[in-house]
Amino acid sequence: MSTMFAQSSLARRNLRPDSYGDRSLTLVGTTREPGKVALNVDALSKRYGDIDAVSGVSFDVRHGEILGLLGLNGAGKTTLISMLATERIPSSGDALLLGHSIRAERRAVRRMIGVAPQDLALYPMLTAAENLRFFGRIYDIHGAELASRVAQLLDFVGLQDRGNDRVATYSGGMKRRLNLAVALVHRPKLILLDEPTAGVDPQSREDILNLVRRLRDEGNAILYTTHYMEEAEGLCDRLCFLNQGKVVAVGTQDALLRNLEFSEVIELKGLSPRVDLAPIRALGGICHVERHDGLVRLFVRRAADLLGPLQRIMNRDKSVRLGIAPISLENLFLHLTGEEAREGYEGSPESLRSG
Amino acid sequence: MKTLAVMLKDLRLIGRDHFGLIALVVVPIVVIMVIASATQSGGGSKSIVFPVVNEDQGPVATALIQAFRKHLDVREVSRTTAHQLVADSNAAPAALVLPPELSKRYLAQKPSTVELLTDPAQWQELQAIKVVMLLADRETASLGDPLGQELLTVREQSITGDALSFSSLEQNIPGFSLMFVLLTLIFSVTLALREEEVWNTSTRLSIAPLAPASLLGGKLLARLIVGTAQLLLLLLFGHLVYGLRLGHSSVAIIAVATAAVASMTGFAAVVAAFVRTREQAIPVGLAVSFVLASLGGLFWPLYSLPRTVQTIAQGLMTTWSMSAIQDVMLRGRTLTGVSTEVLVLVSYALISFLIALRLFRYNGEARA
Repeated sequence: MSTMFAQSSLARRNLRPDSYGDRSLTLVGTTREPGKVALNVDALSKRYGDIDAVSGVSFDVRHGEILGLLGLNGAGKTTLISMLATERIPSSGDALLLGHSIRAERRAVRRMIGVAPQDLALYPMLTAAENLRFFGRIYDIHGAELASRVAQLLDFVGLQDRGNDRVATYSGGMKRRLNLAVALVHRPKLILLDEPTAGVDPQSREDILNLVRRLRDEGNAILYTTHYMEEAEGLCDRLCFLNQGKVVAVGTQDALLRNLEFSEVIELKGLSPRVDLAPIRALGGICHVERHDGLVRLFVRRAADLLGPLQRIMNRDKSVRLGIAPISLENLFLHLTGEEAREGYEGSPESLRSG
Repeated sequence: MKTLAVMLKDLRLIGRDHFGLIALVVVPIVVIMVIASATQSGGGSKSIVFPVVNEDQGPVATALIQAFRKHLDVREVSRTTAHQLVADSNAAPAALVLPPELSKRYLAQKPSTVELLTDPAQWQELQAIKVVMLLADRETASLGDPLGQELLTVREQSITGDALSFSSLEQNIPGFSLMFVLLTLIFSVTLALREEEVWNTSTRLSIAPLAPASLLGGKLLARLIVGTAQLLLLLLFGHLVYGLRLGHSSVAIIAVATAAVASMTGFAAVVAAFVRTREQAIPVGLAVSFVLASLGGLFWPLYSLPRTVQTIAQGLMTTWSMSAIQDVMLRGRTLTGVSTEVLVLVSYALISFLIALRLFRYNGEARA
């Protein structure tokens, strides 16, 4: 799969610039050139005993870009993030952040990355402002600069009115926003967001996504991991699919879908497991067939060409329901990973329209 | 059924913490053994050093010394050595000076005065010596007129401070204060390091440009400040409510309290490096505190412990802490007078910190 880069219209379509209100602050501390590579990951691997958690992973993240890192649980996302964050040492390979090696220049890299871990990493008995001040000091920000930075970030994440309240009193969404703010306190060059919307309500999720878009628009390089396909679809400029520790595809969603030999999916629900699929496979124009219990997915170039024969099958078995949809990110994901929904996969199974 | 399910789940969780499970049984056994040996198998008064300055060299002095030897570790020494053993090294709670011509006067039924140079800070050992002296006096009385009046008068003189005697409170208040500070520190340091993992802030800290020494050092310094304040407040409470003497030098008491708490904080960090769960922290913390308190003379005087244990106790920070506090509070020493103890305690703190730094790490592999 070729690596491609473009300012995806998909990623832009959910932008709501006015939703930022008057939060007209600049979170980026340095001049960045959109499109220029910020992070270059080169054949990065991590081995635990006989298990390759991450194997020869390579990709780039550019300034002004959100690269979505997608994969099932156990795909290696968290291991990859922890290596990039310098928490774990790669078994082989390297990654360069603005030319600095994560292996050889950990101290320099640590100053340039901001991490929002999947599990909240906050002091519940401190206030939001105290959390920000503490982590700011750890990154050698002091005095008036720190005070200004804390005020900026509280404003940015919409916590200016609750900044002096203890984090323990916050809602899940507020904690998530603060978790993001802490990652930004030292003006990082690369922001690693590990499922930053996990476990929050839809409104809070949208708030967080808008914050991430805002960061991207200010020129930040962002690596974003998520399970949610629709979230990746609406947010990420490019996608990187990880499966069993390996990159299986990198590119914009449009380009990834364009490169597929099929463009639509026909979904047959309620088909008896005993039904022989050979006649269906023989219809022609079917690129790929997936069967999981009572669900059969036909990946096809043009669904309309197959409607007649399929209708005859449905007439024989009235319990069968048919759905047709253009290939979605979810279909692409399942196709690339060769997996049906299982533990950790949270894509919507109802994404196909009824036929 | 649900209660049963909860119980089974918790039993499973407890069972998987193997170290905690072992600690649950082994640790109390160790504590019981230590305390049992301290209270039953001690050297008793025979381990109390009792310097005697024999300026008489007559039969009465010899008889007295022989009588003392049955109960005490008598050492015939010069007046200078006796003073050094009592006042400088605090190796003996008291020294007896038998004056010239004591025997001659005694046998002539003339009264004499013997000097007892004391360190009242070792009040329990001193009490034991006084009891032995009474016994010895009765035994030597057979040399003279058994029905005669008191021929020997003891003139007691403290050579380590103003007071001639102290109450048990002056042992117990500093002792229990130190024990509670140690207990608090072990729990506080252990749980504080684990809480960073519970809150997941250890993830942020382990990838921040923060040296492990700064992280551990910062956490321990906070506990050092709180622990020192706790100890000083407890001593102040003892002073205000029970009239506990605090000595003459506030600088010395603050320095000693800080050094003692520093040594305990460092030790707590070493314990924390081994303890991985709350289930382990509780029995281990309690056991370590009780063992160090009992061996370090916080509950009872060291002479009641077996000699080997007394030797081991010389290597414990609790022993040095108690000794330094008694030097300042009971013997009225200044900072210069306790500089050795302070130095030992600070060294203990630094060495413990370096060991803890070597042992402790959060889940991440990479260090700054």
